[in-house]
Amino acid sequence: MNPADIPQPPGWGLLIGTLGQAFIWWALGMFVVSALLGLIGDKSPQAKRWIQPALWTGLGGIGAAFASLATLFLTNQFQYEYVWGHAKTDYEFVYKISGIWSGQEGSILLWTLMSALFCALMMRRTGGLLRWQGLVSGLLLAGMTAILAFESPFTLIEGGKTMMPFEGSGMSPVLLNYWMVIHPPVIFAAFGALTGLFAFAASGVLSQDLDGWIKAVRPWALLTVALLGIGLCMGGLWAYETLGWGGFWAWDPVENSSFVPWCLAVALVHGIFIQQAKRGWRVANVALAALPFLLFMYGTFMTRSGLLDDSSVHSFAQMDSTALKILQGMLGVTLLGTVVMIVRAWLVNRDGSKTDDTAGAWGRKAFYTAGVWLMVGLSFGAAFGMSVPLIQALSGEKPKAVVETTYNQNMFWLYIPIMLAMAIAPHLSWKKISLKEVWIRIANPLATAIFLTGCLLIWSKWGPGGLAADPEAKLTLMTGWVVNRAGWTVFVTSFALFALTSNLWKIVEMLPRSKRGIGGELAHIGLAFTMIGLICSRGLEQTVFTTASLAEPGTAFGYTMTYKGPTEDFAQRNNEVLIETTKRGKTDVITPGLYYIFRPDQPLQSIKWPGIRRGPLFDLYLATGEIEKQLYEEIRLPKDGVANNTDRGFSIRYIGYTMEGNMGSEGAKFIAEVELIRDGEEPETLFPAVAITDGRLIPEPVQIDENLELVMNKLSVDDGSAFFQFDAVHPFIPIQVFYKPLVWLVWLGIGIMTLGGFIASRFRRNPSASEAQDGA
Amino acid sequence: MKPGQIVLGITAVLGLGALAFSFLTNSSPYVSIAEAKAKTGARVHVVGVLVENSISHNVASQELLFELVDEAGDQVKVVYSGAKPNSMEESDKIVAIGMVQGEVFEAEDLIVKCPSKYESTYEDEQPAQ
Repeated sequence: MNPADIPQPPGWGLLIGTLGQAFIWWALGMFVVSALLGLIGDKSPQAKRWIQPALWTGLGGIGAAFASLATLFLTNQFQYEYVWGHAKTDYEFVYKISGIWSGQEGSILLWTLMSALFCALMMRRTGGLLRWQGLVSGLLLAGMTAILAFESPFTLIEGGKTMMPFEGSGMSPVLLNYWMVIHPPVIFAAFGALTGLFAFAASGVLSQDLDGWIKAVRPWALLTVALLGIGLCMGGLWAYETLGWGGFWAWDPVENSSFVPWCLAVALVHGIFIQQAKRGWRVANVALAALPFLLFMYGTFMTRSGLLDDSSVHSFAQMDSTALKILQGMLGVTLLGTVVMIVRAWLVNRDGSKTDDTAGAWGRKAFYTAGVWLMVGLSFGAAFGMSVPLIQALSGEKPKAVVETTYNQNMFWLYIPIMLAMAIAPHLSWKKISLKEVWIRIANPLATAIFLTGCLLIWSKWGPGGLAADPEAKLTLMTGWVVNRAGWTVFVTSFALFALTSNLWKIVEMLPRSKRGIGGELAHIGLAFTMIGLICSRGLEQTVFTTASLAEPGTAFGYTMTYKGPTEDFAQRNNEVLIETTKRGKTDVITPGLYYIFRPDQPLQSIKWPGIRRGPLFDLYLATGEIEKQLYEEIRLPKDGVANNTDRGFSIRYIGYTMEGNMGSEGAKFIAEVELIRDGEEPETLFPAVAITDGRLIPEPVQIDENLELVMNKLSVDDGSAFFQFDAVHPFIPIQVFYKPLVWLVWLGIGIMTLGGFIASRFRRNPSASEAQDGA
Repeated sequence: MKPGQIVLGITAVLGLGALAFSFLTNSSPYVSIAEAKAKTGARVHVVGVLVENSISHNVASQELLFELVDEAGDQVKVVYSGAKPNSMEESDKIVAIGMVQGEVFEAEDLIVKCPSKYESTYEDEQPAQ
């Protein structure tokens, strides 16, 4: 190409990138100023007054950097490495936006932006805590912005000042999904809130007022739980809708990096209730507010440093070495800070008031305490499981990884007591009550749960409206016991059903007194629904493999499945394949996605996503393969060799081959002589061939019956053996069909849990009104 | 400290210890293909690169078949019951989780590492001069 034909980058494009980088440095400066003002805040009231403006100005800088990057994406400024690597001219508007956070640099920018936003919001009206929040928030945000300064999205490609590529490389096709547009902003908002919680805990310790910060942090802790919950749910839904393995959750290190802070934030929320109602828990709550951020930093380090490269389906490039060192430094400082905070809080609290334990073992405090410890245990389990490869490597052993089954088996022991605590705690009081009174309060919901468990058992046995569970399916427990899968699934579900009915019962009791105080119980109901959906959709899941073509429909679970062709064509990014399903005369169409990316000199790349027909009782989930013709593995036959096809009841005998034309030259043709032998019939002679056309071996198959053909792929000239395979005459599509009961409860539960979280967050901003519930 | 709190504390520590022990003892090691072949029947993780043009299907047995080669150059045939994962042909590497049975590696799960192309630089993608 003539160098004169290469487009020049526009001057304004270069200016925006330069400004974007300048905004990052500006923000870094402002966050440092905020920290310094916080440090000297007690000596100068003037300094204290400027803490918030400094932090908000830093937030403005990060926001401006984000806006600059968005402008570069929307206007295809491919002279920037990051834009080139994550955008293309033909992307729809939403994918140009999602491209901003689809890579490492952009996601760090989004994390910093959200952290700054939440830190700034959490500093409003916090009185004496403000100074310390300014100090800690400023330091943390300065660290993040420093990473960004070295891991900058505004780096030009080589020669980028004078030339601009015509087209970008674009992001991974797998990321061209609407979940990529909405999931990262939500989960990063939650991660941002974790930064604010850490700063809150630090401000409580530094101000030596271990009760003052609790009241202020409460709505933010609830909001963080809700945001993390939605983010986790979106990630699960994304996996369910796109990955095709039929599940939502695989204990992947990246998932665990969000799950661990969620568990700890839930523990914090309950710890705050205990502190406010019964005093005590001052030191523990400092730890519970600091640990989510620390563990999130740890998870980020583990997943972004390449340490878990072989354990995760997610692919993150390794960070720039300077940025990684800053992240390591931040992790170290956060760890040290957390330890210092806990020790300092313990010293401050040594002479403080002791917790009130008069309610005893059947008091709400005891159950909240148990719940907090169980959530901490859950987070410990997930964090430890994720760390196993690192622990093994550090101890000089070969790295190991924990598989999904091991996580499920271990976490099960925490799930049961968590559900029981969730079921019983709402009916308890902060004051002492007798065991008999407890029993009276929970008897009705327990009886209802037992009834519902019976209904579920009957449904799993006979499956009205769905499918009966496979009575032969077994499950091996951690103890080595082999149990009936359906029966075990119903047993495990019964605990979540108890949590569900118990909290519903509580809401019915509370509504006449306090309509706004139902947030906590709603969140419990949501979690119970989610657990029921998760357990039943996996435990009662059934799967069948089939193939479907126009000529030969497949069958699964009583459905006839016919492949009807593509909706557009296989080169289009939105192409789907039409699978017509028929059962008892009712016809429906399910459309899994499939398209191919054609690139010169590279293998054809297929992108697939499952098709789902959602229903009130079950989802029919179709994970398809690619359009195929090959039905059986290739076989190599020597002369006089025989191959049996037991599926179709015939065999072939390869007799030998003849050649037309000159060996190795264009037009040469090798013709095999093959006997087709069917029981009770005269052998039939077939002549599959392979010819050299355009320098390549092109098979010329022969038809065996209306649906099957024999293909010779190649010959070995040395010994005369031939490579055969049986292909379908008509292209077919392999389909893994999943029957997944009660999936919708997962999504319903998350919705209810989030609603409950928001209600509780809003309601608990008004502590006086909350006493009605707390004192129940 | 009350006796009840001490008992609870010990229970918590023992519980967390048991959890950690279980994770460590039930985890699956990363091994080379040669080691996987020597540990027939043991669940392991094998990391390798897909051998070009080795993917085939056996619809009758509902299997995806392919060859994996590791850093030492050892090769194994992998059998996986399930649909072919996205981007398999151009993956950087594949982690197969399962065990060697006979001559083949029976994979329960596959982790396909996303292609490096999408994290490469503009310079990486330019043709060599």
